[in-house]
Amino acid sequence: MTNQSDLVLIKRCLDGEVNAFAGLIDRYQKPVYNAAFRMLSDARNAEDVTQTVFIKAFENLDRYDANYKFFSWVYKMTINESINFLKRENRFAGLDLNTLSNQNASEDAFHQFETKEQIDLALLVLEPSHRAIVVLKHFHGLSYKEIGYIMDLPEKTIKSRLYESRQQMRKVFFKQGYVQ
Amino acid sequence: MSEAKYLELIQRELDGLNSPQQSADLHALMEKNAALHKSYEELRTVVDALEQAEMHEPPAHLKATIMNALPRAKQQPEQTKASRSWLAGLLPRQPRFQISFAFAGGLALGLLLFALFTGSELGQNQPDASQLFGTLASSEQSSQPVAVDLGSTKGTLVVQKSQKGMTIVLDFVADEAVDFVLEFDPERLKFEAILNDGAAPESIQVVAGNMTFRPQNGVKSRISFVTLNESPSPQLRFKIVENGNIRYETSLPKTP
Repeated sequence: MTNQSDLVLIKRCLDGEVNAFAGLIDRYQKPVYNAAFRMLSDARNAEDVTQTVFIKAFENLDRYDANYKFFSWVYKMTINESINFLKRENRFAGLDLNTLSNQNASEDAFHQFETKEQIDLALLVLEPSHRAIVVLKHFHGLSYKEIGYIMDLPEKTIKSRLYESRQQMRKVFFKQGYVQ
Repeated sequence: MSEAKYLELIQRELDGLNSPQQSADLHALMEKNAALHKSYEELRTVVDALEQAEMHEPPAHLKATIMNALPRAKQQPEQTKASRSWLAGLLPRQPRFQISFAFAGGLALGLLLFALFTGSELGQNQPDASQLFGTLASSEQSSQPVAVDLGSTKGTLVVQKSQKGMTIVLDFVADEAVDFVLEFDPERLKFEAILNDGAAPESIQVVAGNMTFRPQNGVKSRISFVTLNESPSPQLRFKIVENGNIRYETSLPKTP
């Protein structure tokens, strides 16, 4: 799946072939939906944000800068839409770490930390702009440079925010008894 | 080496960015420094947990929903741009005159809309009382129509917001029997009424936060809700269901 083939689909769309956009949806709906889901921790809202992102992408295809990868452009819209959604819903602040209960994880749990609820909880503690960096880095495997483009931030800031976020998530894991 | 430098080396190790020499130096340091080793292991647990998380599958209808919305979405910005440039030509250049101009324009537009609304909607097209199910909230602000085209079922939906609540206007033609479902949070919205321009819909059911009805073909329906709790702004979930299968689903009002 190369950037070139994205460009071909985009050109076909711009030439009036609306159905060519279906190819871009096929290719990117899953990562876009997942990025929104991790940001919002809600399936329905993630679906709405995904719809909005693709419709806006379609409306603004003529402004797409082919110097950047199409998915970076779409991720940028996804993160912005998700953060705007959280602001509208007054959910911009992360969960207060102090409100989490202290728990003791079992030995099994210590070794099997794939419990998605725990990961979601740890993400919710982060403020959305930090959460976005963790999502893009760890769920989508993007480089610091790509994340910097998406977030409109220098790489150095991305690195420091990622470090802070991991430390904060470590505290959640500690509170939940998964690290001791 | 400072503690900050150690931590940076750890973070780089977690991202796989250390050179083999840096990596070997870090592990040698950790063997001598238990606290450093503990920090590394804890952060490693966090990173491993994040990277093992599975991706979620998007809903099966998502692609069709997006594609259905595209042609209309393509037209709207062009209309907006055209009306903006037309307005820009009329506006005076100095900001203080622009404000006065905008105020006067707004007042004139408001009076025009009031005259149109009272002349056509209230004066000439009074609804048939026999089709009224409850009472209706007055509309003040309408969303852009959302076009839905499922082949055998097609039409538009519009959200009209008022001080009291919101009204969903559904104008659909359906070749197959479909049910319209409106899901809402009963703590934030209360179903108030359904009004139809033609024959009344069949089998209206309102249970807690769920309102279902089978529309008559080609009949416009207005369903109104009263807002009980405005913060955050309440939303509804609209679904078109055919033989128990969800053919279309969206939130209303749409996110801007």
